[in-house]
Amino acid sequence: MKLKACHCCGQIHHVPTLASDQTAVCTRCGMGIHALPTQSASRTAAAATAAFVLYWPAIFLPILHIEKFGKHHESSLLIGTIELLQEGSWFVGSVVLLFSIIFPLVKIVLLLELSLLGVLHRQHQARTYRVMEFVGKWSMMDVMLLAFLVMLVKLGSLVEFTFGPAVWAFVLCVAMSMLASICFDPYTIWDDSDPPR
Amino acid sequence: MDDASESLPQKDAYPVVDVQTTRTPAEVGGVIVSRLWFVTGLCLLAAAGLVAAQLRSGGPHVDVNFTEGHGLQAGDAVRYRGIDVGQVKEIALSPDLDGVLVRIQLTEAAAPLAREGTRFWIERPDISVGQVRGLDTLVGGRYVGVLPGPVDAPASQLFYGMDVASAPIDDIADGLEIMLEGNHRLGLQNGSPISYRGVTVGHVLSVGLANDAVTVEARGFIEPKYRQLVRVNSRFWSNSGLDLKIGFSGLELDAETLSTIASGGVALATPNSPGRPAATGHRFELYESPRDEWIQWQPRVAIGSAALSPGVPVPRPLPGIRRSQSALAVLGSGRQRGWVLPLEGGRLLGPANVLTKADDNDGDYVVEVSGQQFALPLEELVAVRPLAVTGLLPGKLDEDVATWPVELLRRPKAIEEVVVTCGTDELTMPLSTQRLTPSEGIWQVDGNVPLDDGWHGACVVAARDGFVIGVLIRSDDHSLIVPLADELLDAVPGPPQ
Repeated sequence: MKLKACHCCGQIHHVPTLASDQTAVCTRCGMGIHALPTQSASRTAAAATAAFVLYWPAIFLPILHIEKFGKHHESSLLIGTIELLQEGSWFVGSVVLLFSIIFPLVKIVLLLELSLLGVLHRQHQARTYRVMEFVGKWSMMDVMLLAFLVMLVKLGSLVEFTFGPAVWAFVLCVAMSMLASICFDPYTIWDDSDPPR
Repeated sequence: MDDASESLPQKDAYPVVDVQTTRTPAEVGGVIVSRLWFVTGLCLLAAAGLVAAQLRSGGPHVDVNFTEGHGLQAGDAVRYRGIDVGQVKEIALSPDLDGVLVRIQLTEAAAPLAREGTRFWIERPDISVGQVRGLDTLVGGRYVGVLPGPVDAPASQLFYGMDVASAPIDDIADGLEIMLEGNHRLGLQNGSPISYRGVTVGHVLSVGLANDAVTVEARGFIEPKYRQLVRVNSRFWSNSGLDLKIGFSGLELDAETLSTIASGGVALATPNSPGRPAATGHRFELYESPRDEWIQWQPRVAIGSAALSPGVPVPRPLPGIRRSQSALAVLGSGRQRGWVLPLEGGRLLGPANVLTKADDNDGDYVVEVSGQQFALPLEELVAVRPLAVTGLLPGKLDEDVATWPVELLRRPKAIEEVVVTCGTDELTMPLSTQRLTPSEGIWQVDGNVPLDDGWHGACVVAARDGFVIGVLIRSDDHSLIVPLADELLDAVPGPPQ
């Protein structure tokens, strides 16, 4: 018997040793108390791997075809950002680069690290987790999606534009990275196997 | 404080969690694996699919050399027949600075365009007195126009772009290119129309001095559907500019269209006996003005839809003569000439008065077909006057005689556009339905149509599908088209199954 707090309501329980097909449920709020950390890690790893795989087509494949007065323009997320920087829009360019390209990647990689490399030292894991939490707040791929939607609604009549194949990768990537962070259970970091210092 | 200390949870006060049975997570090699990995696999497939689609979506790359860029940009479209078939990927100055290298990616469907003979040009606004073209490129940006080369040409990657502003002639290979020689330019310039009775049938490709500077040479292009109009006897003259005559009757102003005033023009006329069609490269003299009789010429030449489309088999009837063997025939009354069509299987289709005896008084007769004499078996002959089909010929026709397949015979239901032919270009004439008057199952041909007795027995081919649907019969200076009757068609057995 060991003590464990419910993540939801904070109620502390005695948790008996569980068989593999059993799960502990909070007596007060009915939330599952995770007693099988491997399940959470595996899920996180699966979603993060999917997000990682989809990330590359999302930024490298053409995402937008714009046609204005017969002029064609096609650009991928990365090329578009680079073009922004080249044209001298340093602020906007670097904001997009940081929050829509770099931070999402860092977040996905850190999630992968946390979920796949269970062998890491707890201290290291905790630090990684904090970095991930911080970066995750500023990883705004989903906001980018909203920006596209606004463009579609506002510019639809002025400029003819269609989405390229990267949009599918992008949408899936956003969904998968969100799923990965939902699945990730930080409590698994401080498992009972390591005695507190 | 007491209350608070009392309410502090005791160690024993913690409840024991509820234990529920859940589905067993899949276990692979002792490691618990989430079912979510299945989704990961799907995502991997999706990513691979997207990348593959992107890599595959492009057809072949071609490089086109242009002398001038005309403001073309990377990303501009490549169009054929008004739709996008590719995209300009890259534009670079050629290493020796005397041209522009344009790299084009064709779409997959347009991949066959990358073959020898394909022409590329940069479409741009072209506004001249004669015409206004490429206006869409004024606001819509430039695009690269493309015209495919011959179907069987080998594939190619490198092309030299043309320096024209808008679409050159389509199917240049099927058209006719002729050379006009004159003493003077006579107002001609590139693109001047060549007209026949005021209808533009082609245009001038280029005007320049001959090598020895004695004459002016103009290269003319005649559109494929009008090439039959240009015969070796045709005459060309300039109809450029205005023709102002001041006489006793007053002022007479003669001009073709505004465009010929501005950009010059060539007119052509073909005599009533047209001669054989001109071949590409034929040289014609370019006169300054037409002679009066040229204007009067009214030859009938099958053109456009009236002519049989190329590739359609043309019936080749043979000249036939019926010779009476009776004594009276010495006077010549027993002879009758006419065209007869050899059918597959060894029968002849033709006018009854060529294939049968003229009347009951007439005795034996022979039919001579292209030099061979046949004594026809009378009992097998089917005559639906004025047409007849013979029985099987007793002898064999020459090997090289083109026989007409029986399945290409049919009975017409109503009058239709036809071509009357004796198998040669000179003896081929289109007849539109306006020239035909149906009466009692026979179509009478307008008397103005110049058909003489030499056409007796000519095959009548439907312009629509190339079937032989009747025979031209001359009788009392009238031309009649006699449609094939069912009895005649029944008399020819179909091909052996």
